[in-house]
Amino acid sequence: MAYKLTYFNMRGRAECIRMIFAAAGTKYEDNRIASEDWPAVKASTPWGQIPILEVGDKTLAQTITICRYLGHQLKLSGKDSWEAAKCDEYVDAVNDLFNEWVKYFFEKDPDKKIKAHADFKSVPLPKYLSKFNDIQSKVDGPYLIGKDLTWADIFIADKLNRLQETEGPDVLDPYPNLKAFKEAVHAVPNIKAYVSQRPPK
Amino acid sequence: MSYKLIYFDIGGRGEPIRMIFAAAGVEFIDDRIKDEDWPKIKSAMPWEQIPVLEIDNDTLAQTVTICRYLGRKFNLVGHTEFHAAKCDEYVDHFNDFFEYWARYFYEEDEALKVKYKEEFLAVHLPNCLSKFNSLLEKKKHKDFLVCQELTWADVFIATKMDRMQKTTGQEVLDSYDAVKKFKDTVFNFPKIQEYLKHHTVNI
Repeated sequence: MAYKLTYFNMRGRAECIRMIFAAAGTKYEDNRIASEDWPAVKASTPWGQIPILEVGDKTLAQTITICRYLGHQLKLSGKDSWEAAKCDEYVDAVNDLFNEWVKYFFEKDPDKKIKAHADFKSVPLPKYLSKFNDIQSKVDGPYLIGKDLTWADIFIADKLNRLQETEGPDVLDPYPNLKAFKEAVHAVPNIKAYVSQRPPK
Repeated sequence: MSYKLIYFDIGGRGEPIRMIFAAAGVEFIDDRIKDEDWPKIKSAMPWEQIPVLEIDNDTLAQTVTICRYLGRKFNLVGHTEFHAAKCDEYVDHFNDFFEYWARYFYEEDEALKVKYKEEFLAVHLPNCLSKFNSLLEKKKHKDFLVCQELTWADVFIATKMDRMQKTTGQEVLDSYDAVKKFKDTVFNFPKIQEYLKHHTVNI
C-alpha cells in the first residue's frame, strides 16, 4: 500500500500522523510543501486544506479521520470495537480542550489574550488534565485505553507535548499518571527513534 | 443490548444520534433531561457534557464518537474501511463548517450576531455546500455520500442540514440542487419516515 502524506514543512497538524507511521514502522512519502506552493496544491485538495493522505489512487482528508484510518489499518486501534470507540471519545475530548487553547493562543488583542490565557488555565486545562489523569490511573498499563498502544495514545501524547511547549514543561506535574503516560508513549522505541531525528519544528 | 441516550429535551447535538437509531430501526431509551436537573447530572457525566450514551453498564461520551460507534454496530458504515473513513471525513468537514452556524446562532450581542450571520451566509455556507454539491454530482453511485447504501454520515449531515433549514431559513439549501435532493432522500428513507410519523425533529 503506497501512502503519501501532504502537509507543510512543519509539525503542526501532521505530526501525529507521522508519529503513527513511525510507531507502526510503516513507510510513507512525507511530502512537505513550501508555503509558496500552497495555492496550487490547495486547489487540488478535497476541502482546500491539508494534511491529506493519498492511499494508492484514493485521497483522504481531515487530520483525525486520517489518524483513525491508519490506526485501524496499522493495528493501533485497540482490541475490539469498544476500545476503538474509547480511542474516539478521548481524542474528541482532547480536541475540546484544544479548542479552548486555540481561543487564547491565537487571540490578537494582548489584553484579551492575557485574560483568555488565565481563563484557560483556571477552568478547562485542570478539568481535562485531571480527568485524563484519573482515566489513566484506572488502566492496567501505561496507556489510556488498554494494554497496547493505540493511535489515540499517540495523538494525545503529541498534544500534551504541545501543551508543555506553550504552558511550560511543568504543566503536567500535578498529574503524575498523565505525565508518565506521555513519557511512556515517547519512550516506545520506534517513536523515540523518530522523535530523535525529526526536524526541529 | 440496552441503549439509553441522555440529552436535553431539544434536537441539538442529540438529534443525529436519535436519527441513527431510527435509520437502524433500533429501540433506545430517549432520556430527555430538564434544564433544572442538569447541574445535578452534570457532575456524573464523564466530561461534564451531554449527549452521553449508556450501553448496558458502559458509558460512551462525545457526540460524533457515539454516532460512529452506532454506525458500525448497525452496519451503517459502507462496505470497506475506506468507506468508513470517508464517513469520518465528511462528518469532520461538515462539523468544522457547522461551527460557523453555531457562532452566529448562539451569539447574544445583536450587532455581532448580524455580522456573523452575514459572514456565514456569504462565505462559509457557499464554501461548504458547493463542495458537497460537487461531490454529490460527481459520484458514480446513487443517492448517498459514501456509497449506494445509507451511512451514519448521511444521517448526521442531513439532520444538521434540517436544523439549518429550520433556523436559518428553508431556502438555505435551494441553490444546491444535489444537496437538497440528498437531504430529502435521507429524510424519505423508509425507517426514518417511520420515526418521523411519531417524532418531531426539533432544533
